[in-house]
Amino acid sequence: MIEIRQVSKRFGDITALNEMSAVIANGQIFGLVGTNGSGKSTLLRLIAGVYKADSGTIGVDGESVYENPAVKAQLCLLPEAEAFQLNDTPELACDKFCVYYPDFDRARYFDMLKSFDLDPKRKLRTFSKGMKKQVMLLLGIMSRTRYLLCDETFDGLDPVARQAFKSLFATEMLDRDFTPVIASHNMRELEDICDHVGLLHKGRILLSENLEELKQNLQKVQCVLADKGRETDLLREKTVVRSEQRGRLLSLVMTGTHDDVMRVVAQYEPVYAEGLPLTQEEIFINETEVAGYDIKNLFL
Amino acid sequence: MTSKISFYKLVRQSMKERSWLTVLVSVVGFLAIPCYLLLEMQRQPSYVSYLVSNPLYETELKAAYVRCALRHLNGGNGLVTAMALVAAVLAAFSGFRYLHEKEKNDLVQSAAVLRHEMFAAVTLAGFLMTVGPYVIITLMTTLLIPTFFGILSATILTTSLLAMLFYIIQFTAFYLCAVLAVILTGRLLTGALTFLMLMLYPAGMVGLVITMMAQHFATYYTSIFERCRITEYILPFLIKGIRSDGSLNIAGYLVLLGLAVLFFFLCRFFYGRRPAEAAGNALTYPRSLVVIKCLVTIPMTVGLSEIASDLFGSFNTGWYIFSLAAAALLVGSIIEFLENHDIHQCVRHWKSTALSFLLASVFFAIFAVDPFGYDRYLPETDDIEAIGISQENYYQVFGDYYDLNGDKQKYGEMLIENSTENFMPLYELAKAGIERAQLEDPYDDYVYDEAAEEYDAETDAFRELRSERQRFSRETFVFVLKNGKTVYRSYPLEQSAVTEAFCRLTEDPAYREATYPYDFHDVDTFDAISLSESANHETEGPVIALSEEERVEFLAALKEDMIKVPLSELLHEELTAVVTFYTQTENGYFEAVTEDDNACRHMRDLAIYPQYKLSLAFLERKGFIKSIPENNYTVERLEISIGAAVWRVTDAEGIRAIREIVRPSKWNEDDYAAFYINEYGGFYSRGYSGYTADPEKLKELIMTYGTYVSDGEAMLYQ
Repeated sequence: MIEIRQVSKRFGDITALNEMSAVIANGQIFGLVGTNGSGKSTLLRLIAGVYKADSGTIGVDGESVYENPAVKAQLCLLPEAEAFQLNDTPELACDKFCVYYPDFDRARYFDMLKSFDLDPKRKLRTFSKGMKKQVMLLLGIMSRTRYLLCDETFDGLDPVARQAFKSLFATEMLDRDFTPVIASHNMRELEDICDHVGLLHKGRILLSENLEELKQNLQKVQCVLADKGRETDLLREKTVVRSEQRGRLLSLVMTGTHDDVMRVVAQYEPVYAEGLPLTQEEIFINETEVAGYDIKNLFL
Repeated sequence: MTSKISFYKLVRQSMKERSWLTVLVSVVGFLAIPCYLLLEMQRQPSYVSYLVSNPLYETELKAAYVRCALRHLNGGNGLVTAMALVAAVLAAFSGFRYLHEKEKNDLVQSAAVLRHEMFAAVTLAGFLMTVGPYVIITLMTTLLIPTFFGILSATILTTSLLAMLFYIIQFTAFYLCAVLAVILTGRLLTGALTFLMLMLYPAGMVGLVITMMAQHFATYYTSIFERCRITEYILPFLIKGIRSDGSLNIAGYLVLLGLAVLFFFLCRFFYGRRPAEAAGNALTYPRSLVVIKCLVTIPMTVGLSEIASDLFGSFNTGWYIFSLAAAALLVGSIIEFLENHDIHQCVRHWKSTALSFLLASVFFAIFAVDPFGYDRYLPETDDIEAIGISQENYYQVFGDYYDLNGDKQKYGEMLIENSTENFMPLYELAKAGIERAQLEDPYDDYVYDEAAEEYDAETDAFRELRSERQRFSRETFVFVLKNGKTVYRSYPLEQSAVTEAFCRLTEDPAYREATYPYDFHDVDTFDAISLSESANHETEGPVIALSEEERVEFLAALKEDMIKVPLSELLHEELTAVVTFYTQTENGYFEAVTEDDNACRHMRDLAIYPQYKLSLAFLERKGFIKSIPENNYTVERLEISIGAAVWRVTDAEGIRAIREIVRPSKWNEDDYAAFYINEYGGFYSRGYSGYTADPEKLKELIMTYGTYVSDGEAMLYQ
C-alpha cells in the first residue's frame, strides 16, 4: 500500500501539491485524474522517489520511499522515450532496464514485442508516438515491480492497444502482486481501465473512491410526469442531487440504490421513468459539486 | 524479493552508453603520444648532422634521443595536459548529462540505488574510459619506442611513470571540477561556463587584485605577488609535473591531489542534495544566482572599466562611476539572459544587479581611494627589525651592476640580505617617499631631454648631464618587522636624497661589508680580466686569463679596498680604470656579449678608484696598468664599418694613413659618427665610433687599401 500523508511540494513560487493525502491500496488499478498542472506528474515522481517532498511523508507499506533502494525496487516510474539515448532501440532500452530492474523478464519482453509487432532493433526515435508508448509500457510491465507508475502513458494508444494492455494488466494482477497507477487528464479513457480513481485539483485530492461503490450509490433517472405540480414535488425530494429539464423530460441524478430511487420516482406516478448508467465524468461532477467545487467547468 | 542492482553493472552500462569516449581518447592519445614522439625522434639525426664525420656523432645522437624522449614523457608536456582537460570535460558532461534532462533524470533517479552509489558508478565509468586508454598507450610508448632507439633506461621509465601519475592526478582534478559544474547547473551552456569559472576565477581575481594594486597604489611593489609561488598553482592547467630545472614538482602533485579531493567531496555533497527538479534550469540552486552574479560582476565590471580607462585615456571619478554602472548592467543582463534565455527579462532582478554594482564600486574604491592606507603605510620604528633598499643607486658608482629586477625571487632576497638595523636614514627616506607618492604626479620635476637619446657615449660629462635630468627614481624598500613579517614598498624619491642616505649608511663599515656588492665571491665565477681607461672602453687592454691564485688574490684586494671607502668619497672621484671580468659560461650576473668572431662571452665591469690601493698594486704587479695602450701601438688590422658595409685594411701603410686622419668621435663636438672602427693587434683590440675631418681622403684610402668583407650600401657623411 502506498500512503501519502500531508505531502507538499513547491517549485519556486508554484505550489504543485498542497498537503495532499491519499492511499493507494494493492491489487487495484488506480487512476489519477486531473487537469494540466494539477500535480499528477509531481505526485508520481514523489512516489517514485525522484523528488523529495517539502513536507509530509510518502511510504510503501510504512517505509519511506526517498533514498530507500529497498522500497524503490518495488516501484517503476514508466519512462518517456526521451529518457533513452538518441540511437537506442527497444533491445538497448531493455539492456538498461535489466540493469535498473534486475528481475526484468527479458524473454517475455521480446515475446510481447513480437506480439505487438514492434521491431526490437529499430531505433526508438523512428517509432510513432503510440509505438513508443507501447514499448515503454512493455518495459514497465516486464520490470516486474509491485507498483507501476504511468504518467499519461495511455494517452495516444489506439483502442485496440489500450484494450490489449488492459488485458495485460489484468493478467499481471492475477499472476502476482501488481498495482498500476495511471495518471491522465482524460477521464473517459480511464473509465474502463481503473478500479479506483483519485481526482486531483490544484495540488489536492478532491475525491478518491472506488468506482463501483460510487456507481451503486448514485443513479441517473429520466422520467416524464403528468403535471407540473408532481414535477415540483419530485424535485423537492432530498435524494435528488441534480436535475435537468428538456421540455417534459426530466433528467435526475439521485442518491441511493437503483431500487430505492425507482421506488421514490414511482410515488409520483410518472408517465415514463427509466434508470440510465452514469459516466465517470457525471459521477465526478456530482461528487465534487457536493464538495463545493464547480468541477464541470474544467472538463470540456 | 527483488534483487539488488549491481554496482558493476551500473558502471558497465554507463561505459556502454558512451563507448565513443574510449575510442576518441584512444585515437587522439595514440596520435599525440607515440606517433608524435616517433616523429620527433626521427628528426633528431638532422639536429646533430653537423657531427656526422665526428667520432662523437653516435654519442650525441643517442643523447639527443634521450633528451627528446624525456621531453615528451616528462610531466611538463602541455599537449598531454590539454588532452587531459578536454577528455575530462567530455567524460563529465557525457556521464552526468542526465542531470540536465528531465526525462533521463527521472529514469536514473527512480532507479533503486542510493545517490552516492550512482554518483560513484558514473564517475568511475568516466575515469576508467579515459585513464585506461591513456595508461595503456603511455606504457606501450615508454617501453617500445625507447627500446627501438636503444635508449631505454631506468631514468626514462621513472620519468614516464611519475609523469603518468601526475597527469592522472591532473585529469582527476579537471574531471571532478567539470562534474561539479554539471551538478551545480541544469543546462549545458551554464555548465560549461561554471566549469570555466571554477578553473579561472581564483587566478582571475588574484590577477585583478595585482593589476588594481599596480594601477592605483603608488607604492606598490610588483615583486610581492610575483615572488609568491601560490600564483603558480592557482591555474590547475598551468601546473607542471617538473620545474624549469627538470626537478620533480612535488608541490604541483600535492596541489592537484588536494584539488581533486576537494572537488570529489563537493561533488558527493551536492549530488546527494541536488533536487531532481533542477534538470533544465540554468542553475541547480536558483537562489545562488545572486551570489554568482555578484562574484562574476565584480571582477568583470572592474576589469572592463580599467580597459575602458586605458582605451579612452585616464578616467576621472565621474567616468569611472559611469563605466562601472554600465559594465554592471551589461554583465548582469548577460547573466540574466543566460539564465532565462529571454531578452525581455535581462533586467528582471534589478536589485541583484544594483547590489553587484555597489560591491564592484566598493572593490574599486578600495584601490582608488585607498581607505586602508596602503600607500601611507609606515611601520612604527619600534616594530622594525631592519630596512633594506634597492642598491642600484649605490652600486652605480662601482660600474655595471646586473639588474636583478628580472629575477624577482633573487631581487627580493637581495633586498632582505642588504637590510640594516641602523635604518633611520632609510626610514626618513621612506617618509619622504610616502609624501611624494601622494602627489598627483610624483615625478613632476622630471625633465626629459630627447636630444640626450642621440648620444650613447658614456663620457663623464654626459653622465653628469643625465644624472641632472633624472632627478627622481623609484626605489624598492623592504621592512623586516620584529614579528617576522616582511613588507615591500616602492617609493618615488629624489636621487640626491637616496645618494645622501647611502652616504650616511656607508659611513658604517659594517654596512659596507654587509652590502659588498660582489655576488661572485666564488673565484670560479670568472676566468679573465681586462683593463680600460674608462667605462666606455675607449682604450681597452688585452684580455688576460688569471690563475686561481691570482683570482683569489685580486678578489681579496678588491674586497678590502671597497670595504674601506665610504660612498661619499667616491661620488665625485674620477675613476682610475675599469676592470672587465670575463667568463665563458653563462652567469646570471654577467652580461652576454657576442663578439665579432661570433664567440659568446659573459662580461661585467667594475670601476677602480684611486683609493683602491691594493687592487691597483695587483694590477700594476701583473702588468695590466702598463698594458693600457697609448696612441703608438701596433695595429695589424683595421675593420671600418660604414652603414652596413665593412672594409678590412691589413696593409701597414694603409693602417697608418687611416689612423692619422681618424679619431674617436666626441658626442659634444661632432655632428654624428658615420663610421665605426675596430683595431686588432695580437691580443689587442679596440673599437670606437670614428670621426674624420677629411671624409674624401678617408674614402680614397679605403678604396686603395681596403677589401670588402660584407655587402651593403656604403654611406659616409658629407
